[in-house]
Amino acid sequence: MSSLFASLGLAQSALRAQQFGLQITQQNIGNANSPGYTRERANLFPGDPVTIGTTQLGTGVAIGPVESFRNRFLDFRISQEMQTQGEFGSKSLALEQVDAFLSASASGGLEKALSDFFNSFSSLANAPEDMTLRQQVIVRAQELSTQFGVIYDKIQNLQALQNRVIADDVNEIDSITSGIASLNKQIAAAQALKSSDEPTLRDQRQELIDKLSGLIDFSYFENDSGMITIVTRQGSPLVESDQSHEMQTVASSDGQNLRVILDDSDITSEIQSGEMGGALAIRDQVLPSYLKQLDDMADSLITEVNAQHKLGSDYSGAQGGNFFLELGSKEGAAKSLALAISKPTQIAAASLGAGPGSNSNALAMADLSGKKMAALNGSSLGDYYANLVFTVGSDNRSAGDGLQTQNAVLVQLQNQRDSFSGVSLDEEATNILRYQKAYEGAARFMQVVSSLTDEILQLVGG
Amino acid sequence: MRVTQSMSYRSFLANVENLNSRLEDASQQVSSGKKLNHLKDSPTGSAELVELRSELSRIDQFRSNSDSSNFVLNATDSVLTSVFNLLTDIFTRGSEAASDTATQATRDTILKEIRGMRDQIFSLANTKLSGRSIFAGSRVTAPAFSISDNTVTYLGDEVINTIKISDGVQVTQNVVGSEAFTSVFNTLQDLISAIHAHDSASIKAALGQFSTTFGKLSEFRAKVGVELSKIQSVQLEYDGMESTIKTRQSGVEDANLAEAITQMNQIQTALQASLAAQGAVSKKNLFDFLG
Repeated sequence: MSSLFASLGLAQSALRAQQFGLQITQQNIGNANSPGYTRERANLFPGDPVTIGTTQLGTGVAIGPVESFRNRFLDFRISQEMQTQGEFGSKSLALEQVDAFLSASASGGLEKALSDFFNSFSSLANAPEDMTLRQQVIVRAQELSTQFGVIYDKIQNLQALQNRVIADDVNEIDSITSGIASLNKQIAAAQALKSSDEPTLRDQRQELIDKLSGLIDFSYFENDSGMITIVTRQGSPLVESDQSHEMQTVASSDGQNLRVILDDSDITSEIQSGEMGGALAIRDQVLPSYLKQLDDMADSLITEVNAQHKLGSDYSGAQGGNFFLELGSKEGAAKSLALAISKPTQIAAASLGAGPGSNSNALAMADLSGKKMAALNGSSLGDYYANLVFTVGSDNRSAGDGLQTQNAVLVQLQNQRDSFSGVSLDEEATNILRYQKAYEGAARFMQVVSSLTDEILQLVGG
Repeated sequence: MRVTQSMSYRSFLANVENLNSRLEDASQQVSSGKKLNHLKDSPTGSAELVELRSELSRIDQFRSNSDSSNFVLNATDSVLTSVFNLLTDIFTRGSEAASDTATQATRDTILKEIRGMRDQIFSLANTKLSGRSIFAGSRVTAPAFSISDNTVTYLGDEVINTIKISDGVQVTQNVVGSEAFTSVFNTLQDLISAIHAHDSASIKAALGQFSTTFGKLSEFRAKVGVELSKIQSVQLEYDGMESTIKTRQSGVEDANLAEAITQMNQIQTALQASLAAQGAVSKKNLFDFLG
């Protein structure tokens, strides 16, 4: 037998529980648009029954720990894919620019300068003694040097820009990792105390992990106390329990590029994905390979033109010397390309020992445009340049396609995550109805018990 | 599967972004008229365009070379023809001087005329085009011939210039003065000396050399003629060569305007449909229907 007061107690627990349910529902609805919010659910379950004599009596409804809908596997996968997305993102950004330099130059630039240079020798061959035509050769040669320099500079500037990206990313990473470390501490405490703050803190930490994923490649795992350890690809720790390891940048020995330092060791080569990994790959591999191709072209140009020039005689009958300045090394040849001759009379258009009207060496110089050069893998200068155009276009396309694919993959994964963790307004509206009705029921029950109690009191009290 | 608002917004936005990006590409094609607006649009096509543009520039240079050569060779031809005609006149006058009935006075007059014509030939042999002696081999900055008493000396060399007017087609641009005119001047010198000496027999002997001289001169006129017709026939091919390359170029880079516009419209339609659908879908949730 239970007392009326016990029933009141039951009703009260019901009211409290349904109210709690409404509270959770309200929280879900309010946070429907909060990024990284995982929906919560009130866990209501029947209280432990009490045995009195041979009867079991219920003790109403108890409120269990709030359930948070988080799928850790999806979280991890999304983090991985975001790292790849970040990498393709920074690569695509840089390669679009190189693509633009070379596309624009279709109407001018290096391609035309190369063509014009060799054509000027062909024109010269019609009247090799003509000073105007000779001057034209010099002008075209200077233009060629200029154009090599222009494109070289543009690519080097793009390289330097990657350093800015890297420096900014390092700062951001440091701020994120220290945030994660601090949340680690809070989550461990909340987990131990079974605090209701825990889901919110975890949401915040996962948001930071997502942000970090765009920037750098890493792996992470959670230990039993709820703290997350974050390590780079090679295992260098970024966050360990409640400590974050600070990343720094330092100028390289040649002063050109930044190196990334973690705990006093240079981890630059460990970073291969994320925005920073993309920027590093662009700066240290992709752009240098383009610069090298330009240098190879300039170097072969200098070697072949000079060799041919020495096989002829200039206007005064003297043997031709260097046409272009001989450079010490291949590296930077495209940037340092310059004329060795200054006067039109110095151009060796004639065959050796012949008078100024002879054109055979000018013809030979013009023919160098089609010459297959050993140092260029058996390509002519024009073919080699066409190959560079192909490489840039193809690299840009890969990065762009990769980015598009990653974007699509992430949309899918994030939708999957939302399907599990996201707030559905229809569902919450239904929940409101449920809790509201149950609350109304409990309130009505309380009313009934109250009037019954009044009657009894009347019977007793009078 | 649970579907939340955030999911449908995300999918919608991703779709719209994709359509907008495709729309931008399509409208760029329409406005530029080209389907290759970036290297990435077709890496192979872009590389091919580099080669094609280079080809076109070579053909332009060939045109220029053939025009130049044509000019020089036509001038050369006209000199050789004039020399030939003068020699013919000289031969006629010389024959008159050879006659046994010619008087001292007649021969003196003829000698004067022949000297005059020889001087004209000398002048022609020293023809300069734009300041360049065309018969001096490579020593073009000085006259090809000098004269002292009646002796003509060649000052040039034997260098011959060729030039490319098409792949595998070269033309010779000059005639070496010594080859073309040595026989002419020697024969003329002999004739002039003979007439000066009033020696009928040696006049006749000198006149006898003329056939060889005419022959040599004709040889050179023929050679120049061959080069000139080479130029003419190659020049006819340039337009065709260019047209082939330009057609290929167009095939690689030009957008099919009708296709591009159609595509652009299709994407716009899809975009509008997507926007409208989202507008209709997101209007209601359960809250709108509860009390």
